[in-house]
Amino acid sequence: MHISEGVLSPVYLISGWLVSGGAVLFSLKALSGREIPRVALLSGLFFVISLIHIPLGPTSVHLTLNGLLGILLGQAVFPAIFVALFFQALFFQYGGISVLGINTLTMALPPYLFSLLFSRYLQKGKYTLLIGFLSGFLSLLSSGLLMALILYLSNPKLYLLSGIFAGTYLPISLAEGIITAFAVLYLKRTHPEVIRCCQ
Amino acid sequence: MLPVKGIIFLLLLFLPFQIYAHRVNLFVDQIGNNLEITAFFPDGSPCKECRVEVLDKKGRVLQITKTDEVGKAILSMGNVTDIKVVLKAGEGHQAEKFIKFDTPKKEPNKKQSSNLSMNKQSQVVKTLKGEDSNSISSDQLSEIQAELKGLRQEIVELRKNSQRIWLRDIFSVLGYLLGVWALLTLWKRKNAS
Repeated sequence: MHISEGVLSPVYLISGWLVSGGAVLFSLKALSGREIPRVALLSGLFFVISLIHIPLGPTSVHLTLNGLLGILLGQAVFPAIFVALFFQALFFQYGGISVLGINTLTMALPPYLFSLLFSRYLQKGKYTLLIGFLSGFLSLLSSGLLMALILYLSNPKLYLLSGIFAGTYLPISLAEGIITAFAVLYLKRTHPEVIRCCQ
Repeated sequence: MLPVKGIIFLLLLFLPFQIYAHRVNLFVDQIGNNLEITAFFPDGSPCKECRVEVLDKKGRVLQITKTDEVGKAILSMGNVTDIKVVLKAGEGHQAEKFIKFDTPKKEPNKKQSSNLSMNKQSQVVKTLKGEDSNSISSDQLSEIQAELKGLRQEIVELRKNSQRIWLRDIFSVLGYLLGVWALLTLWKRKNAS
């Protein structure tokens, strides 16, 4: 779930760094020392799970659980994903340092916005399974669409690539939605304090 | 406190699957006047039907081709020096390599060529007679070429293995990642105190 180096124009690279850099710094400043172990653990989960591929027909897919990270971390999803993507770029050359900003933005912004949208419903404790599903499904699908849009805006010649990109996200988002739904339901029942909205 | 058992269960669910992501590895070798391109994913599977573009210093496209079933493409190059090879594996994933292409020296003209082949033949005869121990026969030459082919194949396999991501790599980087957060905790505590 990343855009490689050399695909986007400098305007998008700089904008991505500025926006996500600001969000990461703001979030880190607001982060209390008590919350850091949880952010670290979920950052590690994102790092590992996005390296594990599941063969699906002619291609292969991987989960990201960014929707779950949004629900559990709130705005701290930005530094959690930023650090994970940084190490993926540094050690495994996935994505890259120049595209780190835009990749962080596309992966962290949708789950953050959906966590804001759904937090009140989670607090009420109603439709937890549905909310969990929608968080996982919509977060990843929106990330895919956002990446496709950026690819298209950066180079309209990449419209076909953008379409394929967006299309491949639909089945993965469904799988992500189902896993997130059960994870949220389990956490809500057993450890409601770990869900950001329910603390 | 997070349900550690739950997270371990989630991780174990996916451990049997191959570990890699969409990165694509590209290797470019010059063999004579040809450019041999090898492309594969971190699990060693070939990058099939991937688009390959060869560009010059000014970014002009010189040649376009696609890799075959084993992730290879061979391009015959003209008189070029600095080139950039771009491999597009789809979904925004691409790899680039800059190489200095050493244009082989021009072929000798026919007269020179016939003189050379005469010399070679006489050298082979001399070798057979045991007159010149430094010369090699055509049989020996083909043996060496076969051995070199094997060595080249071995190098490709070594490259694939060096680019593969193993579980030990993931866990060691995970250590760095957690270390960064631990440093941040220390820094926050220091500031708070």
